[in-house]
Amino acid sequence: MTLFGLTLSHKLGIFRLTAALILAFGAQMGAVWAQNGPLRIEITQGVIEPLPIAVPGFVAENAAALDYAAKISRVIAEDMAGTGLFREIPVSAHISRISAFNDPIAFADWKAVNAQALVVGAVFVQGVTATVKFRLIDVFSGQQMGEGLQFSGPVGIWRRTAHKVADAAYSRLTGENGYFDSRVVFVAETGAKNKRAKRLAIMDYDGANVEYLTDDKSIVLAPRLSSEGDKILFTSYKTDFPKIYMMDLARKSVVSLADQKGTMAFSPRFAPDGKSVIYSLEKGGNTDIYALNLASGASRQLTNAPSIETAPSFSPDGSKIVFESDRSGGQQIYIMDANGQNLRRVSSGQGRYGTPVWSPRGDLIAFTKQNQGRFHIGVMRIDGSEERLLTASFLDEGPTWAPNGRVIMFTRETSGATGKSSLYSVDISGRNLKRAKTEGAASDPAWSPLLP
Amino acid sequence: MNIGLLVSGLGHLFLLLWMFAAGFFTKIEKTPELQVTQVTILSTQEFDALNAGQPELPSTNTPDMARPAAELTPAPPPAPKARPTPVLKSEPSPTPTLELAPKLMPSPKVPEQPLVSEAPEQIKPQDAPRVAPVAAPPPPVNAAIAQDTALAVIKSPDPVPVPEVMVDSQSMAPEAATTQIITEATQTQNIPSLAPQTSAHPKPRPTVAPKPEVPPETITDLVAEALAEALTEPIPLEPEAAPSRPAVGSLTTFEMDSLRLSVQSCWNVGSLSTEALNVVVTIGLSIQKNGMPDAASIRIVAFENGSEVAARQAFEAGRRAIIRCGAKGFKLPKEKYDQWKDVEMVFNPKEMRMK
Repeated sequence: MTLFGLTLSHKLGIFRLTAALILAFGAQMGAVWAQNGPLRIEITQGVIEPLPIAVPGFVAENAAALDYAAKISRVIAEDMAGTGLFREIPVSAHISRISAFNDPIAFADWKAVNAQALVVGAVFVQGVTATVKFRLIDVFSGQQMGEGLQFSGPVGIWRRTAHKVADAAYSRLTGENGYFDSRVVFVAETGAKNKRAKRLAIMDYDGANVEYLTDDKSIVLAPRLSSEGDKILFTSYKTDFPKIYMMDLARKSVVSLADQKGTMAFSPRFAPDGKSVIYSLEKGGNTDIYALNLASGASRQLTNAPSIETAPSFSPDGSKIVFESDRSGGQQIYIMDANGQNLRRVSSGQGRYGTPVWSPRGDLIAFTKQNQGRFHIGVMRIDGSEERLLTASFLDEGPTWAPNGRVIMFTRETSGATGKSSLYSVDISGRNLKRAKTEGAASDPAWSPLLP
Repeated sequence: MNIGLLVSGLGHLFLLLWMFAAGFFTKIEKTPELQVTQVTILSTQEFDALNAGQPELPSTNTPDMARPAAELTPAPPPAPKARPTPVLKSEPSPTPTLELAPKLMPSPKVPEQPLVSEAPEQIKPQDAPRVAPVAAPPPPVNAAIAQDTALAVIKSPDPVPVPEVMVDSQSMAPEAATTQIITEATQTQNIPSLAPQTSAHPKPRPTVAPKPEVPPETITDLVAEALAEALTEPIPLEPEAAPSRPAVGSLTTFEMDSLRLSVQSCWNVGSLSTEALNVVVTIGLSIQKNGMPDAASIRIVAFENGSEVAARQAFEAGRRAIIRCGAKGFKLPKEKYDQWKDVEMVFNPKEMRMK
């Protein structure tokens, strides 16, 4: 007998198989339901949003501290919220007030306003010294996070003290180092686009305490800070050719780097140990990368190709150099050993890649990418994998890393005759893209390490 | 009848039918001519780039990244004379240093609190902006991130003069909550096209199932026979094989999903470090009969893919999720309390990492 072309034995086989599968599945489910031990569930989907924190005004422990207490707590709150990882619960929404540093925490009040972390602090000013202490509370677990900390410093640099506190709180909440007590060197620009005056300037990472380092008589470009943050390399057109100069930040003294007659030298960067400088040098129409020993003045050629090699940047351990080259036709990113050996290409996507900068953590390379008429700031792993574009605009270029390797600052220029350059920052996740505060147009940022 | 005549007749008849069917006797209408227009083929990327209103790029205004800045900028104004370099000459003024090696503070005792106690009923929270549980609509392009939305509506009694900074007339937008990270570049590239990506294939003609040759009662008999046979056959199971039906009081899949969903809505990984986002942490806890988690019982059972510091961050994020979302008690069937009084939650952020 046949049914749909199957013999009776086939049909019976199918029925047996089906029944067996049903029974086996049922038995397996039963085994799961009746398993011993705790119920186990896996959670793979959450939300990505800023963590709500509360920073009530710090307690002034004497009259002299009254003004500083309020200002310091404000700077801390702005630092934390400015990362995009935290969101401040406005002070006007607070139910509880902190009247003494050791007061018990009214957890219910802070839960009611959905504060998940609480920064409690106090300020004491004696003479010219301000002492700031703080503690961090996890509101929903009702526990203090780590030990309380105390910082002391001159009242004149109270903002730095506040940044230090914010760095410590950020580090405890995220597990990463902070970047608030740092500075940014940049090129301050004034005037029309075709006749722009440029000066070197330095400011706190948040735009405060701007200080101009050069006048606008000659064009300056691409400042770079040493790993100690005490010296600046930059390119200047003070003579007919661009040359590299080094400024001592404390003395404001400037010296020219080596003898560069009849050549163009640009794109300098310090080695991590600060003892040498790598830079691009144009000779006879060809540009290669050189290394200069600052103590001896000896220069050594690291690349030797008819193409243009420029924008070198050391790895954090100083063993490798990433740079851009057009040896394959268009600009791409390459890595070589610090002595110029073992060169290999890293970037492989469409478009042109330039201005690579090694992350302070050593795991990523930030770059500028030009593709299909748009400029991007992006990051990739040091083997070129996991390329991620963070921005897209008419002109984005020149990334620089925050000391903790979590944030990138870069130059964004708007189009048109009235276009202006500004400094922007973005988290390496691509979130929290925002403009840095500057007094006027600005370009070529270089982020310092954390200040001592 | 002559077979040859029959074959001839049938053949002619078939030929005539075929000619009718093929339209041999009908008027042939002239096929309208196709109008041909010259077109240019654009790729999706080119089309998006054109729509983005980009400036004409291969002009002299566009900097060439490989060229040194010297080539991008018009010839610099020649310096008439070499000037003494330092513009600012001052005595060495070393950066003031702070005694900022942090000193540990004796931590004041935090009073024991019922960790999952609810806020008093009579307290009405003020308008603290609540974290949005779902993704907010994207702000305008280049919108700055507002410090807080509440600032826009709460007037400060003592307005503080704001230092003048270069800010264009940008709109301010609250920071968005999201379940995935979308960068500015991704947003630009992923503008959905209205045109379909592929054309649909025509549907196949539905097949008509042939009628069974076996009467229905025979099929029923076969099924019953096969089931009986299958049930009598031994099925290899684990030694401590469970009964074939769920035990009485066991949680259904729906009930377990309900618990998982209620916790994940509070699991915020937005402030975790990149390393902590790689950590898979298993958190154990006990739940009271009223559905509220016992905060003191929340502990790390295991973790992988990270350091202890990163695991601590991951654990704290998971603990916050459990306590926050369990503050009013998880909705679990009371009659099955034995099944959920002890729970292990595996927080695996693999789908939340930066990609």
